[in-house]
Amino acid sequence: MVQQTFEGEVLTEPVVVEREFETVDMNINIGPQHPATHGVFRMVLTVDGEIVKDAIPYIGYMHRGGEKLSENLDYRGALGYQDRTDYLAAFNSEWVYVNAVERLAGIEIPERAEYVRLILAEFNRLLSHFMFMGAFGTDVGYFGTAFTWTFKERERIQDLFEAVCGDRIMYNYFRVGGLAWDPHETFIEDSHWVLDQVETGIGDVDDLMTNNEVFVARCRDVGVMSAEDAISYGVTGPMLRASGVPFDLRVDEPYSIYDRFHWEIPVGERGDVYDRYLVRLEEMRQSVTILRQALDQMPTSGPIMPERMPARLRPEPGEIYMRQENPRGEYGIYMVSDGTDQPWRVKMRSPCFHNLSSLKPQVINAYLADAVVALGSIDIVLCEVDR
Amino acid sequence: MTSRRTPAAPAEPTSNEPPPGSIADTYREVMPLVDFDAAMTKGDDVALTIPANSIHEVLERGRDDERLQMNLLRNQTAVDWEERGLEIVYHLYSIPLRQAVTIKAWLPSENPMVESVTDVYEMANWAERECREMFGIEFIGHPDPRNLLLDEDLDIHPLRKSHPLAPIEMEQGVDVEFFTKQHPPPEPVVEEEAVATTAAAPTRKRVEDMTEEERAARKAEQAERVARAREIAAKRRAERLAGAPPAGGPRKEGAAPPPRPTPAPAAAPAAEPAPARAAAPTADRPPAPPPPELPSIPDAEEDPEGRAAAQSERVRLGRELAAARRAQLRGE
Repeated sequence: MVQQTFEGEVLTEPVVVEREFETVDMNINIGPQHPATHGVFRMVLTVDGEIVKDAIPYIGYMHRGGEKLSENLDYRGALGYQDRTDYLAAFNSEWVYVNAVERLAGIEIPERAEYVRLILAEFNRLLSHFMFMGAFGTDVGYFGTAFTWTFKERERIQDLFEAVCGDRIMYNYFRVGGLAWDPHETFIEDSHWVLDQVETGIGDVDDLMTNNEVFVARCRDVGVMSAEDAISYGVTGPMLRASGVPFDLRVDEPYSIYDRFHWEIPVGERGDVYDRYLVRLEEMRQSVTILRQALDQMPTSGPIMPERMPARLRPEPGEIYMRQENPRGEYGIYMVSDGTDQPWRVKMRSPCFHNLSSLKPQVINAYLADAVVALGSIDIVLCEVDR
Repeated sequence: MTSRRTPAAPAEPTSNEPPPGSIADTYREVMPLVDFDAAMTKGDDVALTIPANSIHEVLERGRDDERLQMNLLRNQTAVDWEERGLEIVYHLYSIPLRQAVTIKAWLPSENPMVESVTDVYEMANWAERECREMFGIEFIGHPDPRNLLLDEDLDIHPLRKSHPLAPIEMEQGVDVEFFTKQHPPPEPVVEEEAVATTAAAPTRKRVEDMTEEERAARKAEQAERVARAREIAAKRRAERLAGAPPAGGPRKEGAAPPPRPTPAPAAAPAAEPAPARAAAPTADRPPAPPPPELPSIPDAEEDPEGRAAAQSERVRLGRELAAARRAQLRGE
């Protein structure tokens, strides 16, 4: 190779000076107000050059004492707090809560209400995963386009929710025993139309990101977690399935009417960030499959609440741990009744809380830039982590 | 009627014994020396109550044994049963065998201690930190027992039933009278001091500007207020346990139901605010006509048809009233 310097001197080959480059361990504070942390989450990373050596996460900035507040309200009154935990999948969280109360009090709910709940919850799963696709694209750093495209699809689903219950994020539509009111008349036709649009949208995101060389290079073999580690950390949901464990509560401990539909559980192989993305993408397609079957089977008329409901709920003393598959994993409500009209104990088992606790082994000995990608792939909602 | 906040009688294990061949029998086979007390929960799970000193052993052997394979600790929490102590709860699940179980143990209320299971399940690290700060349970052998959700140097246990909701607001300077309005306080001293605190509020110094003595005095004052609020809360709880219905809570049997605000006619003024609004009419707004007599709504369990009729009657009256008011405002 021939190079010419400014002085006109001609060098035949570049001079490489080799020497020791010593770095000092440095603490980097990320958050709590930082766009990469998806909310108020703080972590202190100890880095050696670009390599993360230690990570200390700090949570609790959004702790509102939802459990204590729920214990001081009656069974119906605490439902609104469920919207405020996982605000990206509020229908799913509401559903767990009303199911827990219904099973504790022994209330049978009409079939039509069950179908409407399932359909709305599956739509909410799509909504949440679209949010992940958009936010993760920006986390990786190159895909602002994905954000706008996925928000276009989210808008369609939110319009449907607005027509059903009048709200776009904090729905508060499920009731103990059924639903607040009937969905609007063209609910099924609208849902089919939205599904058609959404299916195209999923294909668009797939075309944009999945085989993109930059995207794959940024995600492959980042944040790898083995199946044993994932189970030990209590990781559930798409993250666990990306590590190769086919654990889905809709199949393993079937609740509601999920045994009436046919679909598949997507499972990853390597347990890295790219697999988590692929699992979520495939899960959206499977959600569309479930939704099409549910919309075809759904009774077009019928009651949405039981004929007689007690004015005040006083379940017999007992306990229940109700768990369901939320978009982020296993959401559980542990509820203890003491025979009065207020629950004695309400514990919310938040999937993000335990998924986030597995961040430390993922980022140790990885690049600092990869830590942000690994955090984004957990798909945290800090309101749910802190409760 | 059951009074509020009465801890239930202990669940009788004989009444809901799990069926033979359930996971309770497997546990007894694997660990014959441990005393398992089995019951079914409302969610059709098997709940096993064990002595607190064998928690670590039961969880570790349950994970490693071929017949159980409880590899997922899905949830860990505690329940405060006041005089009966604390109940610590572990929800376990076996992903390969698809079986769930709940392990429970009783701890004393004072100085509860239990062995940490962090070396068995990594998940227990954060769960036990949360449990420790919320209930004050010491986990022996926990690698990192700091506060997780609460502030780092805060030493309170909010999910204990002895921690009432009120002192938190009192710490932040909210008037005590606000909380004691519905429940008249037993001692008039509280009201006087509350007024004194409110009067002193405008001249309050910032904590950073205070001297050491002033800080100490402030801390002592806060502690005193918290202690007083705890006393009030305990007294109220004792009253409720004695059977007195709380104000605004469940009403007495046989008493007439209190009138509720009608949902539909927002324009219809309620009975009390109407005179206040009529007392100060503006020049361009004529005073509102007096509200009509509203029919009382019977209880849904006693008379559903009468309830629906009364509700629709109230809605109709409210709509009429609103229409009349609109017409009056338009000048007709």
